[in-house]
Amino acid sequence: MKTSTMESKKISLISVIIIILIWKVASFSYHNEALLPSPESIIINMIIMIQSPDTFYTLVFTLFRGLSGFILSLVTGMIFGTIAGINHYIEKSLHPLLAVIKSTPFMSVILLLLIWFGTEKTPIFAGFLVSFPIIYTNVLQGTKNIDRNLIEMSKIYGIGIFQIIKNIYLPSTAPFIFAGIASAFSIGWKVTVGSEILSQPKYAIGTRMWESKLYIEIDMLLAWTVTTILISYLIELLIKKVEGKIVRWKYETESNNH
Amino acid sequence: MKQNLTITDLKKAYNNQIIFENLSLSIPLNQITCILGPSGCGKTTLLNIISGIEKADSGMLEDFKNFTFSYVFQDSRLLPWKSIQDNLEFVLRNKYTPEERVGIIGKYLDIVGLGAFKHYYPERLSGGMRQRASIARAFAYPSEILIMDEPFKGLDIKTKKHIMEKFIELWYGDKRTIICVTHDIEECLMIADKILVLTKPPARVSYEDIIEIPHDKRALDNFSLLCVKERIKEVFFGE
Repeated sequence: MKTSTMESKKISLISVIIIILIWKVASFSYHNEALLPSPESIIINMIIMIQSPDTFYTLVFTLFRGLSGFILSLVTGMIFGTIAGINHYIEKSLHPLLAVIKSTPFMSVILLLLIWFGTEKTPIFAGFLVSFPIIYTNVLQGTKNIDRNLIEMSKIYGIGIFQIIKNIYLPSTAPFIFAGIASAFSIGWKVTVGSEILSQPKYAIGTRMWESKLYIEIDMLLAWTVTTILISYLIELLIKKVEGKIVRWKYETESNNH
Repeated sequence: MKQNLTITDLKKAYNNQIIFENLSLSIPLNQITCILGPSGCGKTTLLNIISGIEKADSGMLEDFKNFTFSYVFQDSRLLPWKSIQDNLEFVLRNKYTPEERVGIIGKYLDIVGLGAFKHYYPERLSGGMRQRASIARAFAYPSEILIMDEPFKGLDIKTKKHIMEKFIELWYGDKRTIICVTHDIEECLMIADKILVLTKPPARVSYEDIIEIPHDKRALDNFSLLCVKERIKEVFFGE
């Protein structure tokens, strides 16, 4: 398992290098820094950007919005997913609502949220609305997947409800929750930044992107885009680390079977 | 002091199917009672009613109310995310101090021959080893009645013989009351002190017998055991 992880890391690194090379060749042959800046000028721009105190606030506020929406969807998704997993009727009654959330174009949702909640809160709710169905569906599947026989066994041995939740419910659902968490975060993060472009709070990556577009500073626009991708990547790495710690038994048994 | 636990006039039905109608039987304390019966005669239901997992429609079950149970299921029912040691730890947590638990878990895992595997996750063990862990868990738990639902089903002959020997060894440790259901006559002859044979539903006791030969002296070619076997077969196939 270790070697395959190393191998996939190597392949990812090579593909990133190839993308940067293609970008470099394209910008070199296009020969117009203003429209298609080279990768190194983006890096220079990012370094300049970091030195500005405004950037710090921009990053902190957008991160706060992204994480707030994500945590909100995590908590509500776990609560509703669990209840729906236990009770068939609640699952059925939540189904139409989920279908509506999933199929409504998020641009129209953002516009509505803007009217209802104002510029600061809109990105949080927009992020929440796209992440929630993913977390909910995964928790629902996880809850359905719990082995009832194990709960029966625990009851015979006189185990209390809190110990059952801690030792059976959470470990059963954890692999399902984590399978949803990484994709829920990255989609929620993209939508948060996207809705910042529309709602334009004072400090926001989306607002900076919009301004760059307004002044046709394509190098700045790309610098903010790369920053957004990097933050998303780092948080996904963090989620994977936490997952590895929590569902360790799964990895250990799997690696042994390979 | 009571010598027997009794069930009187037990009734249980699922929808329109009557499983038990006026079933009465008695279970001797501190002995191994084996309940034999054809598939679908309600053996597991009977165990579930005794242990309180299911409710009877009516009948007297007072004798079983204040007992604590441990259970060996057909499948091992170990938590896959816990090592064998932690699986035992999980059920013993409310019963013993941490120091006591270490000693007890070590002792029972050693008896069933899993001492060296205590840090293994269940998935890494064979079916027979998992069942041994389940038996160790049931004995390590300080229950007054141990219930076993076809505990040796699906094991190969060699493993089965080995596990049955371990089971008897464990039972001699504290001689607790054991109720074991099975459909295997030979298995029953090797471990039971008392045998009860149930009929097809609505089930009643069609035969009962007591085997007084000590466990270590029993062999399947023993004359009196052969006689019991023949009688059980007659009841089984004579219906």
